[in-house]
Amino acid sequence: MTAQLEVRDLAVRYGQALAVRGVSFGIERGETLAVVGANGGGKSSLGKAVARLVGSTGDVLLDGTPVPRTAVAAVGAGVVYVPEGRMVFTQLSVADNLRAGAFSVRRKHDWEARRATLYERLPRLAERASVRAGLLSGGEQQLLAIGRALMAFPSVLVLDEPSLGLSPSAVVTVTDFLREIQQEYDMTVLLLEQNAAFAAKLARRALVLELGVVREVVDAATLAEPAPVPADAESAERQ
Amino acid sequence: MDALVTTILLGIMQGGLYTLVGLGVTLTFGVTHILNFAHGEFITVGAYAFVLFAGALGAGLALPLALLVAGGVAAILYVVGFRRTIGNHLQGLAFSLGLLLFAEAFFVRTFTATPRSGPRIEGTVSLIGEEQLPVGRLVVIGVTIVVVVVTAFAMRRTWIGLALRACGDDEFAASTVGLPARRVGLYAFVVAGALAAVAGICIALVVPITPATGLSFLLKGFVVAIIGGLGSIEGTFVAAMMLGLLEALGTRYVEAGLTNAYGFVLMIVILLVAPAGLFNRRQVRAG
Ligand SMILES: Nc1ncnc2c1ncn2[C@@H]1O[C@H](COP(=O)(O)OP(=O)(O)O)[C@@H](O)[C@H]1O
Ligand SMILES: [Mg+2]
Repeated sequence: MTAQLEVRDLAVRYGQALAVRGVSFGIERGETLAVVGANGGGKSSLGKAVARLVGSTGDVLLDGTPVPRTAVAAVGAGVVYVPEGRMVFTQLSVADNLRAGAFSVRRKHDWEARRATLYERLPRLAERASVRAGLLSGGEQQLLAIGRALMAFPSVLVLDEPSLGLSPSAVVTVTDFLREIQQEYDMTVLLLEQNAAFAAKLARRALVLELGVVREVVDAATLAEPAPVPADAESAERQ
Repeated sequence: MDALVTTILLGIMQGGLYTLVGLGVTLTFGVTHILNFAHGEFITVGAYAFVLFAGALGAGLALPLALLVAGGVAAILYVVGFRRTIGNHLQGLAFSLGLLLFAEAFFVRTFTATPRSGPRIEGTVSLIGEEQLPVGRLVVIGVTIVVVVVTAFAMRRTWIGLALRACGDDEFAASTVGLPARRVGLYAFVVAGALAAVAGICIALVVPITPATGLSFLLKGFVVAIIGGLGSIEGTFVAAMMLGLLEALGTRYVEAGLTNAYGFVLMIVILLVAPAGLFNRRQVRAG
């Protein structure tokens, strides 16, 4: 099986500084690939480069075709990035945030149907449809930011630190929501996360990114374990 | 009593014109973060276009043509100039100030400084008591109210309105949903140019115009946009009405020579109380 999203030798440069240096990987359709690593490791830069929000060198292929080089066209091609820190439109209502997410969608009834499904799944957002998004809680804003991205009918969803700054219960809600929508819409997910335990809940494979370089590719399950020696921790858990 | 009614109507009319100008300032600033000091020249362009076309083709055709000319001029200036200054405030400042000086000189050279009158709406009616109210002013009040309401509605209900609000709210987030920020900036300039042209036409309907017509309104437009909390439509409207009424009442009952000072006093007082303006709900975001 060939990868749906193929990244080859991707590099991102800000002036003199190289934030991402020759990263390559593939993600299969419906798979979630986590990219973990400390702050400043280049996760956001990598995700933005995939969604064409920052300039890069190297290739990003979707089903074998290069993802167009502008952010607008990349969204149109189905690669949608959910920003770190949520970045909902704070002064717009929840409903308008979702409507804005559908900017690239031509047919109105398509996105309206999708919004209706989203409201069914998240009644809390439906109740607050006319409330300014800036007034929502952090967890609600994260759900809204993901929902907004869904309105663009993504085939590849790039999630930048969706667990950042959320309460433990909000993290559980976001995790469940992500599982459900990925199933329902058959999406491929690139999950950029500092929180390895969270990444392990959603992904099976993880790239460890350090200073812009992939240091290793690991089984995501090993990330969730606190002990430095995975084998020991595994046997301890079985007992 | 009758004098008070007239004064209030005059204040509402001025407030309506300030709203049209302030909306353009706030809209272009919200989307592109350019404070366009040449914005007032769109008023002048609209006013002269209206007067000239009205002389040649009649007022009916002159109305849409004046809007088209001002919107077109705004579009061209955005594409060749303003667009390239986005993200560089000093460049934007230099470009818009240069443009302002150029436009003023251009208008004086082309049209001379002699005031010109277009198709004025003359005559008065007496609505309340003995006081005669000029029809032209009442028409201007009606026009500005309709245009402001339509603009506010369009900002809420249309795709362009949503795009303008989304880009003004968070440009990066807007780019993640596939909004072309630079193109949306063009829409902002065209809408701002057309709104300024409506103001210019309204002004030409009640008083003679000169090359300096736009500039005097620009300063007031800035004041109301800032008091309103840059980027807010409701704020601009409320601030414009406050300023218009304050000026009219102050001129009539306090001291006519201070007309232009009232607004700045108002701005200073309000900014001392609410430093971000009346309706600024923008939140400081961490990171
Ligand atoms: N817009 C930018 N301009 C300059 N340097 C940047 C910019 N964005 C990120 N960087 C730098 O690139 C490196 C990677 O940052 P980032 O991609 O945000 O990493 P992460 O998301 O893993 O925290 C950091 O050293 C950061 O300072
Ligand atoms: Mg990051």
